[in-house]
Amino acid sequence: MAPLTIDTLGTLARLHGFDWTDTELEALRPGAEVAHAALETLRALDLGSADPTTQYRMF
Amino acid sequence: MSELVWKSATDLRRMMAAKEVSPVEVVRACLDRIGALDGTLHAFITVCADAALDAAKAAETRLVSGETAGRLDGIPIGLKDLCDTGGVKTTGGSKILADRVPAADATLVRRLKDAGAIMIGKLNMHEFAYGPQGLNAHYGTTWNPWDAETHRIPGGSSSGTGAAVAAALCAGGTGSDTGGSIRIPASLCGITGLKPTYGRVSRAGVLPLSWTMDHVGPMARTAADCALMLGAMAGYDPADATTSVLPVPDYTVALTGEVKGLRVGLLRAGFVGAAAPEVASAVERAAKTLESLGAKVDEVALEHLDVVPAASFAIVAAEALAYHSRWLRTRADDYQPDVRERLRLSVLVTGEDYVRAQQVRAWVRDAVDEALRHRDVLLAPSTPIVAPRVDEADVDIRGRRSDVRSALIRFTRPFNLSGHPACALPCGFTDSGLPIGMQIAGRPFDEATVLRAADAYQQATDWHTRRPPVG
Repeated sequence: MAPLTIDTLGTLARLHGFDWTDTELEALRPGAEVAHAALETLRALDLGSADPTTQYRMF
Repeated sequence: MSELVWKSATDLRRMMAAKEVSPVEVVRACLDRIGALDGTLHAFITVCADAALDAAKAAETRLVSGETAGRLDGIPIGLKDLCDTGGVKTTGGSKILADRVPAADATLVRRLKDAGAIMIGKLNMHEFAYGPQGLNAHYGTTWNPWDAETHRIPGGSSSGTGAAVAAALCAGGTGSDTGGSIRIPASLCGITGLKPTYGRVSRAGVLPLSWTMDHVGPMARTAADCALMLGAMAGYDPADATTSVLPVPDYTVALTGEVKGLRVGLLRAGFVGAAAPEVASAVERAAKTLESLGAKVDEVALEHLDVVPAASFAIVAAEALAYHSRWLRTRADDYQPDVRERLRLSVLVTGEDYVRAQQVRAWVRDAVDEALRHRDVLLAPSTPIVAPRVDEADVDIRGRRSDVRSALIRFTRPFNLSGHPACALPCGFTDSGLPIGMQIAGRPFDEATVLRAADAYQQATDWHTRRPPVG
């Protein structure tokens, strides 16, 4: 898994329209690394053609 | 202090019907107790004393003339401060919405009032419901009533409801549960809380955290009171397209005290086995109690638990950002730090992540359905730990460190992803006197069986009758 740099975090934030300072991004990094690792596990799953529950009418 | 405040809603209704007590006496007793204790507990954000007394007088008039508004007539309840109340501030526990006064009641509030419930005030919560500890920098973090000396968290996000009901400031209240926010405070405060099936209770007029994960439900001191409240709250609502058209049964009829032959699946792997030893022992004893009452208990495991945290994060983070992005751009400094940070982490989630998480969600739903294929309910701890101190960031569970937030939501989140109903209730106390909670989960829209099992357990035990040391 590639490390999550301040530059990468800043780029992601700007893509969402946020302009955070380096200090703010640095404060975010520990939590972001945990979240990034969790998302990597999600990205690695072989989910096949399982229907997503995006239209949430499960019952 | 009046003993009246400790009566259950079910008992109060019986006493009011027999004209042994007046709704005015009950509401006054609750208001007195709020006055005496809430300066310390910080369970309420807004107390509606005058309106509550007016409503109590109207209930008394009905009572005298032999009329009734419904099955909650005269019962004082609190509402989590994300349920819209017409003409009364609804802040979401935030500074951003500190002056927000909705024009109309949320559907569930209107239904509770139609059943005669008396709204005594609005209850504290983790800001915008985005945290399981119950922290609030704006209105003060609620105290857990089970430790009068040390500030322990009540659990959240429905922290005020957990503490207010446990300390008998009101007979019951509402909570919302996106990752455990009804069941966690119920567990840490020693009360009973039901997260209904997704679609059972309308979310219309309830401030969202995550539209597809939010559930609204009752919190009270007994399963019987939760049954009473759920009956009033539940049902189809054209204002919430996700509500079900299935009829709402009388849940109190299901409370037979009987669990003979009930098939109970005990979740050991990933639940009992991952809880602190005192918690695990209490839940094992609860399983034995249910067995002694005639239930058939066997062990069962849930598949796909390992991907629950990632899928939950992706869904809640993406949906929460969609709601909060306007304020995160313009009023970021008005969020408390932990909520601001959690919202900012949402920028990591891609569209693909969100859809993949919803695919995982289908897996988890199927896994819970499979575990229930040959069983009526599942039994597990609600939380792996009891209430930590408010300054504790990490806890030790069986020799492994875990941050408090992750630990608290570990056992509750699977049922938010799956949508199945789950009821948390007390099943013991630690040597230091802190409550331990378990949860009983059931089939979709089978809250009746979940509540029957919880009520039967409470008829056979007295954990739910114990009183915290405050006041």
